[in-house]
Amino acid sequence: MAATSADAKKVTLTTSDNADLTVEREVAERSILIKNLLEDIGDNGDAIPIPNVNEAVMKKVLEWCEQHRKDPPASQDDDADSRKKSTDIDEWDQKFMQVDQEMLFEIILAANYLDIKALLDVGCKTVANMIKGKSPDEIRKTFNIQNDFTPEEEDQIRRENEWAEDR
Amino acid sequence: MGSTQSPMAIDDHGDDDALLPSYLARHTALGFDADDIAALISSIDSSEIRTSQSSASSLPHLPAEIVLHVLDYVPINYVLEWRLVCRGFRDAIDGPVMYDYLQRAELIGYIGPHLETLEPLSEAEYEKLHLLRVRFLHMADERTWSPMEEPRRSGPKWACNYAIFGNDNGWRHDMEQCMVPFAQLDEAIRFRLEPCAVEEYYGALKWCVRLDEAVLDVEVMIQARKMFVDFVFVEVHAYWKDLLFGLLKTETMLRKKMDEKRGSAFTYSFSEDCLRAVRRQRFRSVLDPSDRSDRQLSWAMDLMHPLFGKIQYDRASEPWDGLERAEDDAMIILMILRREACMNAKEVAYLTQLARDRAAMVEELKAISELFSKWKKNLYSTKAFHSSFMETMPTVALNPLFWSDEIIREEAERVRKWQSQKRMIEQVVTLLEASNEVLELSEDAFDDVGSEV
Repeated sequence: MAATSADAKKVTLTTSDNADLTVEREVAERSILIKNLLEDIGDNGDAIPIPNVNEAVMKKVLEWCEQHRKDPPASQDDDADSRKKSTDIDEWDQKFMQVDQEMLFEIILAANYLDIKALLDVGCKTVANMIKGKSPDEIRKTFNIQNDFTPEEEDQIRRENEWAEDR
Repeated sequence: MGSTQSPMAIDDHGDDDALLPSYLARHTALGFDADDIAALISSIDSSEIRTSQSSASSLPHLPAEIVLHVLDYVPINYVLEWRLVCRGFRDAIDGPVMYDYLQRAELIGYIGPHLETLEPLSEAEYEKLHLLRVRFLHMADERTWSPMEEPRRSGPKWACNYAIFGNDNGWRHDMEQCMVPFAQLDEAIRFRLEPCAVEEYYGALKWCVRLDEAVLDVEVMIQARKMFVDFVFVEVHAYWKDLLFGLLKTETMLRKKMDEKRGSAFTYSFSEDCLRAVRRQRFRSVLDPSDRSDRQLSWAMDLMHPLFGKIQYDRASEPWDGLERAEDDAMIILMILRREACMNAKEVAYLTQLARDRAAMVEELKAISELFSKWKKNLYSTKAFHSSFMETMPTVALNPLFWSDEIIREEAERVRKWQSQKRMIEQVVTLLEASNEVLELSEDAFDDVGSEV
């Protein structure tokens, strides 16, 4: 284990809009990307450029990392269990995710880029819950997806989705 | 974006499999590889709008691999509608998402109420045996009794028709431990769990399937034709896609029923009425109107207790109320299983511990109460008094999942009090034991001591 003084070391991250954010190394290392980077290049005090994430989103991501800094790394078993229920989001995360859809998507993209699996999972769960009951057309709009079914195929799927006698 | 170029997929272990013996390869082979995932991603990608015509939406664009990840988290009673979004979604749901469901699904066989043939079982034995839970083990290509020899690489694993489920919590062992002759028990249980055997009463619960928070009967047609139980190895072979698809459809139906009936009066409880209604609808739907006995069943179902607060004018008398009794019994089990499914591991562990503590408390109190009545008998030399604290304690079901919230609160309080008075209880026990020892000495115990008084 590293000495506590090393743990409290700070790192500086430069966001895409050229803002410098300074955080404790332990917090920043929730991101596997930053962790690997620091291990590879060594911590020489230089600012780490994060060209894909802007300041507002980065602040939000770091807020999450701060809250979850002590979380144990997810094991394989945890992973299987956490996928069990999509409604299971802890209270703090639920509040944290109460942002507009644009910000939510930005956070997901940043979590994906920065390789923070737990945050990516929470983001995807939130999206799934938010739009679970929407019509296929609304879901398409949310994800910018085109309907590539013919009307016949669509009918066919509708039939498959329900017991025959329900219609 | 470049998502099609670098999909977030599992490494292709195709080559490594050859190095492993088949019994290991079965567990390491995920059944799909990077190619399968890449195909899905490109399928979703191609449905995504790239051109500026989509500029109406100001939302950032999520790459396909993330959208696929979102799909994993869509609640199971909504997921079917997502199949209508685009081909990529449909293929993903029918393939990897369903395969993922299979890993967490559980089949539960119910041996029926503790009556008739199962009567000789003690309550504790019945409690252990009444549910046979099996979980997914591996795929099988056709209905074979041996695992798939060589995982064929011709397609992803989810292309297989049969999945094999097995039991790992020693159910068979528990059965052998029972005081009832094994052969007799084996026959009774086999008879009850055979999926295609005809029930005495239509609509009795036999096999159900659990996935996340949903627990429902395995559809009648699947039990009858696409499910086989091997009692020697305690394995179930099932046509897994139809099995899960049936669950998804019925669960979606249940969700819609609950939306439709919201705020309506109910007969049992709101959720129970909805579940009963959907269950009846399913059971009725497979009846053949051109068949005489099926028509009779359909008629008999009309006589069942009406739901949603409607008044029942006449309850059929025995034996005509068999359908209703079968439903009541099935609902007890289903509601309990659904309740359990909604709890997380921590809550279940808490309840189990509470039940265990309570059992220990009851044992201890029983012992003390015996000690106490012995003491009174010794002291007053009369017949034992039959006043014990046990009488003030309500009897509860062995399985804590049957306990209502109120019972849980009461029992937790009772156990807490008992635990906090542990030292006091120990002292009382020592005192009683010592007194009993002295009181139980026979009258002439000191006669030959030889002292002259």
